[in-house]
Amino acid sequence: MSCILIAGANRGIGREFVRQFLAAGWAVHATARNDDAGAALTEMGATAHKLDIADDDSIAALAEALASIPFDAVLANAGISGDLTLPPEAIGWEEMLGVFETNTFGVLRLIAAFKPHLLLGEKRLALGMSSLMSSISANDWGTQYCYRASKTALNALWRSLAEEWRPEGITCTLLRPGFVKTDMTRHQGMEVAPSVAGMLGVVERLTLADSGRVIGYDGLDVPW
Amino acid sequence: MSRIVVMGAEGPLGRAVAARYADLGHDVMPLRITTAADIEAAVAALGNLPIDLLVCADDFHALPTPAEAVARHELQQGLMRLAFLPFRVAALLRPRLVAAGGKLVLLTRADAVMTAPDPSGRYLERPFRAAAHQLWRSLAAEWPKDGVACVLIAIDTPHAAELPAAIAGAKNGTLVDAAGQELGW
Repeated sequence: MSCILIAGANRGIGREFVRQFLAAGWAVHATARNDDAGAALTEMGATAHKLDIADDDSIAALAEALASIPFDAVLANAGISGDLTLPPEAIGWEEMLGVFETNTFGVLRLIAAFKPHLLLGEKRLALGMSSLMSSISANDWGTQYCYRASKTALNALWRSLAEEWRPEGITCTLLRPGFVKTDMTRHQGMEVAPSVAGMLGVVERLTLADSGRVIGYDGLDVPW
Repeated sequence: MSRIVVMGAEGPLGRAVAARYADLGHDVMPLRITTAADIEAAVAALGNLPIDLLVCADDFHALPTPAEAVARHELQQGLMRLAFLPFRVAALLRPRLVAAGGKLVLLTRADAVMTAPDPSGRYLERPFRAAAHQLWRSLAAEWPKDGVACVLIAIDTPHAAELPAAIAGAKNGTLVDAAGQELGW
């Protein structure tokens, strides 16, 4: 049985990933920041853990607690939007840093902490969540400054990670969920289930040749 | 004569750019900022006159680092230096760029684009230059309505002789090299 760690699984896309990976026969370890969400994940059939991806001590403690478990995949799904409406002149350091801490730095720190677990596994998939908003070439209307930049930086991190970890057989790929009904989108867009089903299909077909790509739920690459 | 602000003129690249524009007879004002706390005072010290050109330069070149060895505070420093500081300065100087119908330029590196190989792992530089590219692209989408063009120039050496021509010729929202050739992202 394949085994995955899903970070940021308390709601929306992460929670649906838990449901669909369980249905597909995977063993699922899922994290949330609070105990109530953890209880709900346990009820679904996952092994729940508490994790704050913006806190390195929290990441280190979880990696240590799960040290003996081989993970076929680690999916860093945690993400925040920040205030998408801020104009450039209203964006201060705390706003930008806050978005990057979760969307970019925490994702890299988590994946790096779980590299030993991935090396114990068979599939060796290091996964994160990107967005069409990460695309520079597709950005012709501006707005969402911090969110866009945090995801662009994540793309660049994963490109480097893909090259560094390729010799060890770890596939580093980012996924794009599309515009999905979640709290982040104020429940506009497509339903969560088909988006996650599409991404799960992508994950199941990944090979080392896909390392460094950003692949959408529809199987299409996100342009740089 | 144009009024030109060069952020990062204390480094080799910025210094060369500032000297080049001064040689051409422009009024060049260096802007030195190292932390977020410096920004407001440094920008205020420039006065309130219109600015024709703001050039943001930074020579930083990260050493290769394994992903597991990258510390969070180092990532924070990279974000501050390569993305937040130039972006914040640009935002604060926007009214003066608008007053002159000016141009906003970010000097970057060709090896920071997504398609460039990075076998050595420069996690402390490339992501933040890429983030800055994205921030500039957003500005390029929003500021032309006020008469401000936003461009990126990839230049890997402090030999800045070609730069004024490249800056003058660069179109809003593009990333070009010092010879004016458009690059990918």
